[in-house]
Amino acid sequence: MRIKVVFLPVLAVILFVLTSCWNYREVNEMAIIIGAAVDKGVENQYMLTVELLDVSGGAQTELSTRILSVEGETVFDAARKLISVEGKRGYWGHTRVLIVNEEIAREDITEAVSFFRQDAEARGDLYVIVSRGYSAREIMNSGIPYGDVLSESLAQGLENSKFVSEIPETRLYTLSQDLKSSKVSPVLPAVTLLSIDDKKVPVLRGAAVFQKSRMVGFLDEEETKAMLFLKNEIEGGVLVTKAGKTRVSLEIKDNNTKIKVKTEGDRLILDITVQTKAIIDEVIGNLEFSDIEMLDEIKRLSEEQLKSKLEKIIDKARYYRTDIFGFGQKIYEDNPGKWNEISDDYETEFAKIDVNLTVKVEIPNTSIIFKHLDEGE
Amino acid sequence: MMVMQKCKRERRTTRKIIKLGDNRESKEAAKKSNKLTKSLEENIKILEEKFKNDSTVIFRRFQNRYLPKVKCCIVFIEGMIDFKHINMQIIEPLMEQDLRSLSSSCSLLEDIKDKVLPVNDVEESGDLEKILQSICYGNTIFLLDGYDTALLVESKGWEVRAITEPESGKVIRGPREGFTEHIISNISLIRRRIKNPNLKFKFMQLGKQTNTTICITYIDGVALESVLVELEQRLNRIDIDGILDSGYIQELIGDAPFSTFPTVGYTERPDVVVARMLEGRIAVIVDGSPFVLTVPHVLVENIQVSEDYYDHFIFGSFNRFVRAVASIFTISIPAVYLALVTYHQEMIPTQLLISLSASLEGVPLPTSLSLIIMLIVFDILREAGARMPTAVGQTVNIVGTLVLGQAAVEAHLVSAPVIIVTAISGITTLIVPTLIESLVLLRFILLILASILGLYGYFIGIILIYLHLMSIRSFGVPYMLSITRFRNHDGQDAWIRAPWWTMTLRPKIIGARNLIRQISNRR
Repeated sequence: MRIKVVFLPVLAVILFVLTSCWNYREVNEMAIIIGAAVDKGVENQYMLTVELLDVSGGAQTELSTRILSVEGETVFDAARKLISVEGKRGYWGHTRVLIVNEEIAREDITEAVSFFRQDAEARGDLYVIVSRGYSAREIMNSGIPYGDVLSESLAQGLENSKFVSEIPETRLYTLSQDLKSSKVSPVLPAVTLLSIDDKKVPVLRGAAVFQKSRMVGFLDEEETKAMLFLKNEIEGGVLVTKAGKTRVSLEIKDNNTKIKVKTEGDRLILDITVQTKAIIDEVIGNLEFSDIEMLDEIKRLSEEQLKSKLEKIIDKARYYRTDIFGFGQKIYEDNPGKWNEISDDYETEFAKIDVNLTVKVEIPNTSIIFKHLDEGE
Repeated sequence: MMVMQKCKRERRTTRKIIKLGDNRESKEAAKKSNKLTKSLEENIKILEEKFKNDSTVIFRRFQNRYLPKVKCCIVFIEGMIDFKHINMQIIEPLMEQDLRSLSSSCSLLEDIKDKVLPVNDVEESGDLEKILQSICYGNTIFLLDGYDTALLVESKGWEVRAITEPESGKVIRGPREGFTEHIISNISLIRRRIKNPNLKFKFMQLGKQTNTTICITYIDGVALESVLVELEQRLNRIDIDGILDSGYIQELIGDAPFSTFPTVGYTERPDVVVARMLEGRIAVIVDGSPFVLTVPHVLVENIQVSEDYYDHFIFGSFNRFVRAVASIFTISIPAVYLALVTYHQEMIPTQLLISLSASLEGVPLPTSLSLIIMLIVFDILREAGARMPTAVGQTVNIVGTLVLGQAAVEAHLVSAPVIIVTAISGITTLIVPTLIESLVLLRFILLILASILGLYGYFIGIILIYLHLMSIRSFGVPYMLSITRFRNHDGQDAWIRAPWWTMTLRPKIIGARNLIRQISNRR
């Protein structure tokens, strides 16, 4: 009883002292940063460009954004210097995207990312994007065809990318995990500017491939899709199969990629089985798929074409000497002893791994109209 | 805790001293004159002296037609008696009957009592104190010359409010009778529902000046003996001068006097009282109050409404769930809103944050202050609405909705979400009427904690409230009874209202005397 009485005030005090970062702050006193971009500075080390939400109006909310650029010794230094420009303190809790200049990414992406990883406010689920061909600031300053907030539309594009499977959906926490791990290399989505109606519009295009924290190259959409097949991260998207002049669109319903690690003597062999369920959604050209033979033909062609794409991306990864598929992780799980042997020089070892690819495409059903639309009918 | 116990002890000792002093006074008074004399005139003089300056006391002298030499007098208080009854049942027989024919061995007064007065309750007494009190209760005193005792004749009769539907605790389905201010009619409302000789009524008089009748009611064999003993002890300790409503007694006998949670239940509905008595509780009826008290009272009773038991059990359970959620909402919503907006902006979805930010634009007051002000304004409106005459009540409504709601937002004095939060919090308070007192206060405490420490402070407050609720008891019964446990039959009448055929047991502890309610016939 006495112990309880003594400890009660102690516990009460501890409760009050051990609170984490918090502060009373009104919503309208902070500048909500919805997106950020990091470039090399002209006068200083870094240039931070932020997209701020500019909210006005009481009953009817009027939303617009402002783009501000500040230079600083570090990213955080630049972030604090924002106050002298904006007046309000920036709030990073709702930042959706971080665009990193290709130049910085090619040197070391951690420079740009570490502030967001370590700061208390910034979220782990923000998207990290690499700018391609343009500086991150240029992308931030470009206009989007519709919608108010550029960062928001980029983030939504990445959120919905699973229906396309052409862009890797990498969030900050995945990036930091991959950067720490030696068994897999990070892949980030890339953004570039396209001219639409004389306006430069940001478009998400493909992926940036990293070797450890250095970016080594870009993948285009098809390569990205092939990479996602091997990572078993396909959730949807379209598989276009060509048969002479005709083109068949297969909608991917389900995909399962299995990797088995085998050793033959000193050699590592990966048995990769890609099993895809897809349905025929569109046929361009004169082709009727109502008979089984035709269906089998489509199946065979799509398997063949998918397999060649997968082989191409594996070759490209070998060329970059970076394991973007996470084969290392698989080897570690299945054969830790072997992993210990090769882990010291995994980059060279990765290029030497033999891969056995098996691709199976299953077409369980088709679109509801079989017959092709012929002229004059 | 220590401090509270000390306070109680002190209160008790001071009470004792007052009581001792009183006894001494009354003893001295008794020595002077506590008896009637044999002379009628002298007796009238004594009574006139006692009721000096009270013109409502009426002395009516008359004689019997056949025995004119025997003088007699009746004394009663106007307004407390039934005139018709006195005229027909007391004065008429005494005047018209031939008293000479009452040839009997015993005294004339006794003969009158036994053979003349056709009244159900007649008592003979010479004790002046008793006579005075009897007059005050509305009885008629019959004085006969030559006797030092008087007849106390029952003649009570006064205007009573009719039994109407109670204002509080209205139901759509269920009995519409409500208690009135008249204790006897209240007792009959209970008796009519339990036709059983085990139903017991114990009368007491409390209040040194008001002599208010109170009645302890319980079902013998169901009510807990220990609670009954404790209740009687606590009632006997009461030494207040007046009791105008059962609220006095509620406060005087309740446990945890500094807690805002009620530890004595009250209701205006006889069916609720009977239902609680059937579960093993004891009721206290107070004359002059339509609110009947029940003990022991636990937290869950506040969200149990009689209609739950009359409706389909699924609907009843749903309604009860709504009430439970609403009472948690009402204390939480302002505090959680404040914590989210001022401390944990990362928990608000981006779109919502944008609209919040827009509505807060240009509002001069900080959110915490504007919430506190708006909640106080709501309480002012609530209090005004409750006390205002209905005609003026309309004005309060208009001022509340138009001026405070719309205009304040349009003038950017308060942000719109604050008004919404206040409105939701305000409406949900009214769902559980018996808890309004505590919920309104707890809301402010949580709000202040949240403004100092954010969600963290809110949770400290919630934990403290929970600990407090777990620590208090009502007449030895844990206040959180059947809320914290779900095993067997414990939770079946708390979070949900189980179907009647499964409620085979009375609630634990309260119904421990006779646990089995029914032997289920549907399995």
